[in-house]
Amino acid sequence: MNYTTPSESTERAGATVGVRRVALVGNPNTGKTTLFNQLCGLRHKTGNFPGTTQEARVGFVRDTADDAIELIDLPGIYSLELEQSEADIARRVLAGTLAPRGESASAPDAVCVVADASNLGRNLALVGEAIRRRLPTVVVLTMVDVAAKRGVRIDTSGLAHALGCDVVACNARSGAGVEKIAPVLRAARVPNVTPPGTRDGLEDWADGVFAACAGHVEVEGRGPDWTDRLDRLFTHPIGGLACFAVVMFGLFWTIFTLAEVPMSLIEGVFGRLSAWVGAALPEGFIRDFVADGVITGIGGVLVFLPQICLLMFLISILEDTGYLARAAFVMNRFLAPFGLSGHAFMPLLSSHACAIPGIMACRAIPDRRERLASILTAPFMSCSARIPVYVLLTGVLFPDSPARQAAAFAGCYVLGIIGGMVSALIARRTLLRGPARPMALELPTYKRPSLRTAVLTTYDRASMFVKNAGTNILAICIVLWWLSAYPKVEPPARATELRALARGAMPDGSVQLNDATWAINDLLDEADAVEAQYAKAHSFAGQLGKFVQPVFEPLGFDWKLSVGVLTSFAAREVFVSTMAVMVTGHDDADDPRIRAALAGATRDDGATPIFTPAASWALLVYYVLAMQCLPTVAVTAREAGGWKWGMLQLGWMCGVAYVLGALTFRVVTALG
Amino acid sequence: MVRVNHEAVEPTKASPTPCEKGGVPHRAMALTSLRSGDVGVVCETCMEPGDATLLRAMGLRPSALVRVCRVGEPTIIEVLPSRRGEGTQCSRPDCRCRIGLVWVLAQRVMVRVDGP
Repeated sequence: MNYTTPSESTERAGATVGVRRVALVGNPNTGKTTLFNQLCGLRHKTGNFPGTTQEARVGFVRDTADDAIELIDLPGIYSLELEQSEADIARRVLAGTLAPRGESASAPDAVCVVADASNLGRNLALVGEAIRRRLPTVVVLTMVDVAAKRGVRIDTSGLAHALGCDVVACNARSGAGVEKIAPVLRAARVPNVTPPGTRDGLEDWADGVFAACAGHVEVEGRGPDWTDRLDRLFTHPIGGLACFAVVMFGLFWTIFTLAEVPMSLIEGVFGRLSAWVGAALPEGFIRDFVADGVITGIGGVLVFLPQICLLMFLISILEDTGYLARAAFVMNRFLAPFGLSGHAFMPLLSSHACAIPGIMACRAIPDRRERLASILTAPFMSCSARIPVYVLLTGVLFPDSPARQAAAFAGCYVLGIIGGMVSALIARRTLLRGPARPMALELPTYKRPSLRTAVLTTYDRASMFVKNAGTNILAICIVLWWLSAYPKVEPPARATELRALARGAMPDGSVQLNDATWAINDLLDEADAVEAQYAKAHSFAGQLGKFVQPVFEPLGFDWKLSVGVLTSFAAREVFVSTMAVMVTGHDDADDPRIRAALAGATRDDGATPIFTPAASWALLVYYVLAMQCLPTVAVTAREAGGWKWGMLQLGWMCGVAYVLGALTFRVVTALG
Repeated sequence: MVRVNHEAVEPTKASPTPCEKGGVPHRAMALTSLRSGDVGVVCETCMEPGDATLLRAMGLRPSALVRVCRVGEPTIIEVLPSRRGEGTQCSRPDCRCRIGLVWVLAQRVMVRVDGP
């Protein structure tokens, strides 16, 4: 292995340097992130390194000193010399040629190497690599409690002497000893030793330092090796799958159960806020914009926040226990044939709830190509927003057969998974071609999860989502609202007539019309429905639907279905309410009468059903495979590192959906 | 496929190398040939250089003492500390790490087992 040979800056050696920016380096699973959270708490921001999908966290150490310490949490790496994106980022940050987005690139004032005391021999090799960078260095020993349980005693003074830099021992989980780190970072100095520059030499040097500074005491009462037993269970071909299924069921049951209350609350609050603003402001564009565009748009996006928070919290807890590393191996055997690894399973599974948190969970995938392939294919998984569409269409297709409805419903999920896997395979063979990294994972020790870490991770992800929701997603929602609500048109004659009838009602509140007695409220409801139907048909979205209808002709869609497809780019479930408004004038698609009216609705010729069997099958295939959710595209662009990925995802998914939808229409039509 | 031999220490009679250089390694076998609970010394890794380098950085280096915890998919090993030439007798502090390897990688890790 070739090592970067740093220039020997002997004039800096031994000098105390005022520290401003400190890079946090360490092996994975050393408690580096836990330490970062202990040192910075909420005083940090999370972003990306420019041009990469790698997460960058920058925080400020909490203490009372005047000169602040800025901490850059670098990705966990086993060696600075590996040919991996994570190691490349760490090298470039230490060399001063890369900085997290929004930061100026300059060499850090110091390096803080986090080393696991329970596996110090290996960790010292990375310490040696860091020391060779000739930057002021501090070594922080974590997991001293685990080491002590194993009988390992580290002589920190001897270690500091051997490394030529300060060494601080702490327990990142409990926070014991963490307060000693900041003063040491301020006084960091360039180590006065130079480890060898070859891998063999470095390993021998690390062995020597370890042997000189680590002692061993006998530990009594060492029980059975539970780690071995649990590992055998969790990675067993059948037992491991069963455990995984139980854990995943518990995870998603918890999410769906617990998220329901806050989601309803958010919907209620924003609904009331929208109504209040609507009542408070004078009629006009401003009122519509604020009440129906902004407030409804924000509410529609924030409603996902409870699910995202719960998912991220539970994933963090699972990861911290050490279980997820084992689960990754269980799923690896199923995903490897498609160019993905076991790491991708959790994001793909999460995407069945909502693709947005699923895509955000892809950050845990270490390999860049696999990460991008997973991001691109995650929205193929049938999210909960598709469920109303599936329910409507399977009901239309098999009105009298719940068993067939269920089979078609399950088939949608299977088709989505197949679409995603095939797309991942194609991506990995073309655009993201490259050797699949055979899975080799360090399996961390099983431990009690840190609630603090889970809460801070959740806070991070939630902040990122809200920030995104406040910009791209909100903008998309507002544009789609405007397209659906404008231009304002005069009410149709029929609505005016109904209102006039209502005004001329009998003193008892009833109207005699065609031998039927109508209540005033019924008349007004009917007038509202006719007006909504008319307004939707003449909105920009309606006009656009009519304009693009020829494009959807091969799938058998009429202009109303085309409008439904266009408006559902805001969110898939919007399709059902749009169709309900277009056909019946009411948006309560849960009402069985409205569903029945939808199923029996005809096209403009008055004879052909809107939902012919062939068109319904084509629509079902289209909705399973199409990227009908622009907020997801915005999140993809952010997580993948550019809009080109979002556009690729949109184009590919809609293209596949269109082609297969058209094919389905042809086949079903041919079969009669 | 590149055959990567990490052995960097010259062989001496007092401290035999884990595997003979050139030709068939002495009593070396694939990691996957071992049984759960067996302890062996890593001789070499016959795999893509990138994978070999990663494993080495993870601690699976020549002369590393490994205990097999599970054989199969995945193969799980525990890397125990050992200095080059110490063989399977380890008197070092109990510093260790556990690594999971997919079968295709594990069968390319050659190990030597001391004993009768």
